[in-house]
Order: sequence, then C-alpha cells, then structure tokens
Amino acid sequence: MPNKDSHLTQARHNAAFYQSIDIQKYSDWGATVLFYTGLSYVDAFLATHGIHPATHAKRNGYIHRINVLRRISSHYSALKSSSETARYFPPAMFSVQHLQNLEQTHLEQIRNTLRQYLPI
Amino acid sequence: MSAPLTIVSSLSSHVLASRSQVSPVGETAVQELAFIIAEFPTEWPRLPNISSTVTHSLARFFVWRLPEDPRIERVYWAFEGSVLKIWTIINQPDFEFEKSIYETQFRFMDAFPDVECDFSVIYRLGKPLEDFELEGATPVS
Repeated sequence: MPNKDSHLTQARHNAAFYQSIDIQKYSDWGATVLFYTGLSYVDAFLATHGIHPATHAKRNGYIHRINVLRRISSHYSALKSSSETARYFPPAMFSVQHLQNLEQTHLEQIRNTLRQYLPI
Repeated sequence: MSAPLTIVSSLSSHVLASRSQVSPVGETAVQELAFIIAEFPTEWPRLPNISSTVTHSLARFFVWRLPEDPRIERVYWAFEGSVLKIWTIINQPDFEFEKSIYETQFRFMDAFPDVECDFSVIYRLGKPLEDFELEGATPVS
C-alpha cells in the first residue's frame, strides 16, 4: 500500500500538473486534478494511521467518522462534485472563477487543516 | 507527526429526535430499516424481497432530510455491490447551498452507520434534465 510520502508526492505531482494546464480551456480536467490532489492529502493523512481506503465509499466513511477529516468534509465534497460532474456528465465546462474557488478555497482548506499533521 | 483519531459516534435515535416533522418514511420505519441493516449487514442487500424496498426507503429518508428547495431538481439512487449510491442533481455550483446537502449526507450516515454510501452532487450546468437519467438508477419521488 502507498505510504504517506507516496500520497504526498502524488498530491504535489497533481498540483504541478494543474499549474501547467490552461484551466480556461480544460476546466473539466482542472476540476478533476484538484479533486485528486485533495484526495491524495486525505489518503496521506489516513495512511499515517495505517488506513488505505480502496473505494470512494470507504474513504467517505472515514471522512465521516474521523473528526479531523469531518472538519474538511464539505470542502472535499465540493471538489468531488465538480470532478464527478466533469467525468460522468460531459461536456462540463466551469468558469475560471469556479476553478479558482476550488483551488483557493476548498483545496486550500484541506491543505491548511491537514498541514498540522502532514508536511504539506 | 500523527493526529489522534477521534471517531465520531453515531446514534440514529439522536438524529431522529432532532427532527420534529413527521417523516414520509416514518420514524418507526426508519428504526426498522436501521435494525434490518444492523442485524443483517451483509445479507440484506442480497435478499430479493427486501433489498429494493429497504434501499428505496433509505433514499426516501435521504430526500426527506434534504432542504425543501427548488434548486434540488432530482435525486437518484442505485445499489452497486454493497454500496448505496445517491446522486443529487442541481443546476449550478453554489457552495453555500450545497453545504446543506452535504450536511444531509452526513446525517444520513449518522442514522445508518452500517450502510456504505457514495453520495454525489451533480451540476446540470443548463443541460436538459433528461441528460442526467442514469442507467440502472431509480429517481426518488
């Protein structure tokens, strides 16, 4: 199973990719990359406790039950909603403002909260 | 650096007691659902005469807990393996409004801690609602 560092490396990899794409043209992929960046932070936190969820439903259960993750759950859900809309109901194009909200509000809240426990 | 894991306890009776309205599902029915799920956590999804009824009742319970708001355009459910999937369709992203939906998802998980759930809020983004009919999923009235 990937450990905390592997998940954090993936989160940085995703964040770097997000910075490299034209989010006006590829807002759907932008939303998806931001969601998976947030997911990697969550998985890194869970990995520090030996937890490795294999499915979204399992991960949702941990987010629901663990207080630290519960605090960021609405931000995680906001990222998930845009990503799932983009992936399963195309074409889905978002405004640059929406992408900025996803990155600067929701992903940032996840980072800020988990920074207390992870070297983000 | 490792955070202490604080697990939030779940008490369906507490959740139910916070609702003063009469449920279209019915408190007794919800308690019966919770009992069936708790007693038969792996069996009930495979019981042909029960699974569909239980799952539809669960989805109706979720809808009952949603805010009454025309921005919620449709709710679908499907059971995939052991996971209850519920999709809530709204037209546009609106985080302040979505928070009430996410809160409902958590309350549902509080009420039914033994049900594995995958909730989704999907944005219609101005496309026809018919484009969001999901194969194998059932709309909740």
